Amino acid sequence: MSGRPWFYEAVVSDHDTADEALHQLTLGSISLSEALGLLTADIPSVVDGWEGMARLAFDDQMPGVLTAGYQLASALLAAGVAVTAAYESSVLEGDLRARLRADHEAELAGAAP
Amino acid sequence: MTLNASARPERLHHLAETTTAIAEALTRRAGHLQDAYDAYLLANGADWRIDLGALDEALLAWAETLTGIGTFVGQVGTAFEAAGGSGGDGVVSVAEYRMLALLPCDARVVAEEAWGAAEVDWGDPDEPPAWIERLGTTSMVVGHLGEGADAVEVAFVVGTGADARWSPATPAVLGRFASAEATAAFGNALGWGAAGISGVAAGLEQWVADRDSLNFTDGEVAARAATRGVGTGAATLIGGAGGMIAATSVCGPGAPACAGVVIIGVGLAATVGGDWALDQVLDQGGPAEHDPSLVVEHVAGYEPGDRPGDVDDSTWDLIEAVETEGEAAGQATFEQRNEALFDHDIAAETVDALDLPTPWVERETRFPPGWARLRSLAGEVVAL
Repeated sequence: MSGRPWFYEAVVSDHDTADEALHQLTLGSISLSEALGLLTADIPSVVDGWEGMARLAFDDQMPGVLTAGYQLASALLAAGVAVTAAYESSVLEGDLRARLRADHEAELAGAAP
Repeated sequence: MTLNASARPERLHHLAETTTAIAEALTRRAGHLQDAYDAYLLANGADWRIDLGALDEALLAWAETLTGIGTFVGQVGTAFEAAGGSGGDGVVSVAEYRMLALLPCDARVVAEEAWGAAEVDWGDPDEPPAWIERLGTTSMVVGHLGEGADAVEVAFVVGTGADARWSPATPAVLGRFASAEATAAFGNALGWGAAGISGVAAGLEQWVADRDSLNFTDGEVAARAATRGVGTGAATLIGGAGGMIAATSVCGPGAPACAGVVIIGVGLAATVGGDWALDQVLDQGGPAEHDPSLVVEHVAGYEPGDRPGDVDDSTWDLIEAVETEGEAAGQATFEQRNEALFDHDIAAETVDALDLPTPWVERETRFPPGWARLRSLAGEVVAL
């Protein structure tokens, strides 16, 4: 195989932007949770005394919208974890590659006449 | 016989106002998320970032759908008033056909199509029914940190309790108040479409394609699969049905049995956040009546540039917990991918597979950094 070993490939990552992405994802999840909390508290009052086909249409659709909201809130949190994990993994990988590069270059220097 | 319909029109209007305010706040929040993602995209290499592009769109899609159902509710309230109701906070009862006739055409179609549907038990404001409680505590997202071959063993599960599992209803969850665009956007984020398994698929494809190639060492194959998986692991990692399908097929039903599972109490967010919002917003007016500007302020939450002191302690608690989970996941993933390097017994195959420089191995042989023993390239134990 020609070319330099795989550990010469740079690992490009940035703490500040990863951290900001994490914060916005987490805050997005919290905002959505706030909205869901507000809606689930309001709806019982709204449907009190509401009867007829429009009510049935509301009941047919709203649980799905709430379910979707909770799933999205979960996804936002999971993405925050993923962003952090990817960044942490990049740092560790970068450290490993730097160490391997240094040792490889020491090996090459030792082998030189 | 004339069927009657009844409602409290004022409360229907209140809900419509609230949904509009919520949608405005979430739209603002999605904008902040988009800005953060743009910066993240620019500063992190393709192999070391997560594709979050679908999430802000999904947030907008959900807000749009909520606006749609809120508009419908408001139109129903107006129709009740126009049909001859008093418009006060009391229950107004009118002939159903008259109310329906006063609805805009599209809203009337929606109402008429619901014929035969069942009423839902919504509980009361202080005591939501069990099915809503379950939504907040058992909704679950499984994704993968796209690490190629390793991806199948790193799953993120969001939810609590033994009931945390994928709901097969997910693909249709937004319902008919979502536009086709919103449905597609939401689908991209929660991954029931092709995007859902792209991360795992891409990583595995890379691994499968490379492993038989003579052009790469095993170490390079693993590295390529890992980086490819991270780079394209977007929708899968974000979670959702597709990720869950993949996780379930690999790890068995109820994915929590997978190695490296991280469980986050999303119920905490719902509970803490919801209670906080209610404390701030509900203490006023009549039932379900809120100041829309307060709703926007509290749902939108913190803006970029807000002082740290402005952020509620419970919010920091949640952020820190997420960060901690991420750090643990990153460490575990790295160690898993480089398991041989962390083993007490580094074998000759590992030296070959990872292209470890000979002097590095020899140095570690002389000064073993915590390894109990090493083997020579011939497979013999050379240090104890």
